[in-house]
Amino acid sequence: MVFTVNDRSNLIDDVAHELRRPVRIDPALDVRVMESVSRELRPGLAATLLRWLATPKPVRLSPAVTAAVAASIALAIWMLPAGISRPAGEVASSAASGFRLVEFSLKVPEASVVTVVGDFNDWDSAATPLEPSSAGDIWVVTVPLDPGRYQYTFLVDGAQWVADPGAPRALQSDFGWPSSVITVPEI
Amino acid sequence: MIKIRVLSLALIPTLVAVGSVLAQDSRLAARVDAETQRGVEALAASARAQQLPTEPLFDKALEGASKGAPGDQIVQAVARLLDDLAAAREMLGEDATDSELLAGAGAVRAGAAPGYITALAEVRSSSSVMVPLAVLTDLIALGVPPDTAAAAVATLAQSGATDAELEDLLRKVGSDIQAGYPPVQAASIRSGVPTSVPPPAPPVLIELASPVRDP
Repeated sequence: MVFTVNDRSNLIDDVAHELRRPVRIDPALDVRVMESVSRELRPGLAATLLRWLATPKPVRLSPAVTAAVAASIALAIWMLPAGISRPAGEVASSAASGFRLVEFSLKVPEASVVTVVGDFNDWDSAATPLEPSSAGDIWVVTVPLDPGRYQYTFLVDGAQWVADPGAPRALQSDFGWPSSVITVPEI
Repeated sequence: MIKIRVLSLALIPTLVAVGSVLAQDSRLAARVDAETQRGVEALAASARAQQLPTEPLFDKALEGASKGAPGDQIVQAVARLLDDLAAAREMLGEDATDSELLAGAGAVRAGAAPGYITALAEVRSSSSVMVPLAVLTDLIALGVPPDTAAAAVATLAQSGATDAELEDLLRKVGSDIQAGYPPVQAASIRSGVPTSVPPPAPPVLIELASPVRDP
């Protein structure tokens, strides 16, 4: 058979046309294929994983490595926050965790910075700052405290120690500056 | 081969305890000089030996550091607190919690008679005596004479008063004093205990043992 230019052109057009036609595939094919794959893989993976988990594995560790692992765990436990870093008045309590939320407040209209410092925050003068109320004259902070008895005092503008006027005074004024005391009863 | 789980579990409490001690060291190291730190840690070691709580001692040292007290004053204050805790232990017994011991130490420092502290613990044998001791101490701090305060708290406790009711007594006495009533009168009226009536007799008389200190 001899093809002319026109014949070849027609043939190419016919082939191209045929190739461009969408292939009709059963719409349920994808579902069937995935189900088949899933059936093939799922039991194998699960069984393998279960077998691996259930099989005892000998672990060889030197005492030093074991101690290091234990030390890491202990360090992690130690680094957990001891509690969100206490007249003080109770505002809420949690029987589940045992702590009570205690509100500390002090009326000092002219202050720039007020913090509460006490047994509950390692007497860190920067740990628990109070926030001024919207009127700006009363400074307030709420602190979660476990049951116990705590001494504390306010530090105004980083220099003036002020006992809580609404709480009992601590009798032991060991260091010359007055402290107050709060008792957080058990829930 | 070492059974990692068993060994780790056995080591964790020890390491946590060591970590805790190191944490206390680091807290002090950053706030007081070396000599003061050594003094406070020696007292803490003595407290541990007597199975007394150490945290209040470190709190006291940190309070002194925060208030700018000299080292020797800090160590003296910590030593006084240790003595008070040891005395409280004698009065409250071996089962007393750390909170009860600290509250008891406060009552001792306030001047409450040992026999009355023990009597309070006897009355509250089935629940914490922390709040009654705290209220007793705070009443004395308000100016109520120790015997009157002890009579007020002991009488209410014996009648089955709750912690909240004892705290309410403290609030009311405080309000009365602010309003101008003499402390002894305020405490007597609010507790219903006449000032002429002595507090309940203590069940036993206790001789305080000298606290043990490390050399």
